[in-house]
Amino acid sequence: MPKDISAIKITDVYKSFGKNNVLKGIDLDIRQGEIFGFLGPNGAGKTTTIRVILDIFRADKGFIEIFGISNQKIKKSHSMFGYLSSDMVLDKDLTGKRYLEYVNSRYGGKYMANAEVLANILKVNLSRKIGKLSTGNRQKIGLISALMHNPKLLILDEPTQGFDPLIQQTFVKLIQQFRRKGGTVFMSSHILAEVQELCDRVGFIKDGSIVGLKSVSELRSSARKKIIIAAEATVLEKIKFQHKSLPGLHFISESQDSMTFGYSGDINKLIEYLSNKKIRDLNILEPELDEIFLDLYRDGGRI
Amino acid sequence: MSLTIITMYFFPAFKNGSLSSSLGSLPTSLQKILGDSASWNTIGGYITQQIFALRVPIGLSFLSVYLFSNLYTGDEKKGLLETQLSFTNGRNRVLTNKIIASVIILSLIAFAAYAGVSIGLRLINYQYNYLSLAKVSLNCLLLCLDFGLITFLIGCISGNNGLAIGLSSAYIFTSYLISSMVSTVSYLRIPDKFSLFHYYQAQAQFNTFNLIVIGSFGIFCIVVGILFFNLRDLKTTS
Repeated sequence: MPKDISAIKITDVYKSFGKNNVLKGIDLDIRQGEIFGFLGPNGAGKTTTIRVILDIFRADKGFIEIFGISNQKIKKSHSMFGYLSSDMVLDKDLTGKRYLEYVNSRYGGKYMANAEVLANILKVNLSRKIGKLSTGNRQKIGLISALMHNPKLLILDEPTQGFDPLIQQTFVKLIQQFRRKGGTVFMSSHILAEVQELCDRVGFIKDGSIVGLKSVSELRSSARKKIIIAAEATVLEKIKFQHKSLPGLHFISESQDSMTFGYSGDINKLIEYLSNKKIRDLNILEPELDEIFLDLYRDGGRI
Repeated sequence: MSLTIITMYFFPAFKNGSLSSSLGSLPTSLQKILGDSASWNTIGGYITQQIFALRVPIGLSFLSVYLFSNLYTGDEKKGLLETQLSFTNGRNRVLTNKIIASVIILSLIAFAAYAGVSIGLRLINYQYNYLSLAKVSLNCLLLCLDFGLITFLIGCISGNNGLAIGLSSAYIFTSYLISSMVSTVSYLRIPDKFSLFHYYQAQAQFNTFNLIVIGSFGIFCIVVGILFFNLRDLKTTS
């Protein structure tokens, strides 16, 4: 597969349900080999976007390609990805093994050995009926069905819901291993720590529009850092009074001997600004993704 | 199967009883529902009128509705269809497989009715032509398939399992009522043309025109159903 072809290319996709415009011109380009995190609050359009990619929902306008093939050419496009969602419904009357045999048959019948290896890694009993398994174990079977046919792309919608912390770690390892082999991952998630640990790039969706698209490291460096300054009360008062003179510095809170600011500018300018002030201590904290996320949605802005 | 065996088992008792003369005095419309008096006297009449004119088609029709709704709109309602379509299954392929599965299951049930009558004949020591029995069974199967395909069509258009079952059941009930009463209520003649029972004859012979109507209607339901299903979004569980 030529490297210049996008793993997923979404161009100007609109989708509405009645008068409710859920997707308003989505453009996304997921590169081969990357892990892309798709973030947004409930109802922002994450799952709808994924369902449009899967052709479960038909876009009103725009088009989608998976490795250069229209997503409506099901046999070709769908054979290249594995899909897992948090609310994936599996046939409760089948055993895990029987279900995976069915999935195996959909992909040409060569992957049952892979499924058994994955079942061992994830410690799931395939001989039990799916209806008798816990949500976490059902989710594991969904994950096996997504990975067993060695897809080039994984599309994951809130994939780790129902996993215990141990299995979440196994999941992270499996995804990293998948990427090392050249796989691409498109995942929506609410668990920002997981996104931070796994993703190369993130896209933020809000009210059906993409409001931000950056690499995780770029996002961190451009986002507001937390600055904690410890000093005498009079010094702190002076800094608070004058802080607007340094662009990008925002007051957040204060305690008896320290003040907390947010800062989104050049760190050298901050150090220069503080150099003539008699401070006792300075802490510069990298923003966590969840803080960036909350800032973004609180301020209603774009990244 | 047991229903047809039991019904067959009662034939000697009815044949020799005074029931047929009492039936003869009933109004024509009621005879249409219960079967006319002649049907109680001959084994052929009894099989076609008492088994394949009412009991089997009604039972098989509702089974057909259940089957098509369960295999298709039921799967969509449960979210199983979404999972199936996330694999390499195209929409047309999924639907075609479900139709084939429903036809096979319904054919097996119709065969069970055929087998039940055959066993009943042996039990009461009567003879009937098995080819004729196959023909009447096939007529019945085709009618019932159409009722299931109505459920399929409504399901494909709406994605609503309840609506598909409700409307197709109401259609079966109404059309049976219209077709059974049309001989006495003249103004039902036009509505009767829209009843599939009008084109169904519980007889050991094929009527080409009726077969064309029933066959074409079934094909229409499949084609239009698939067409609509390809245009709409799948109903999802969340």
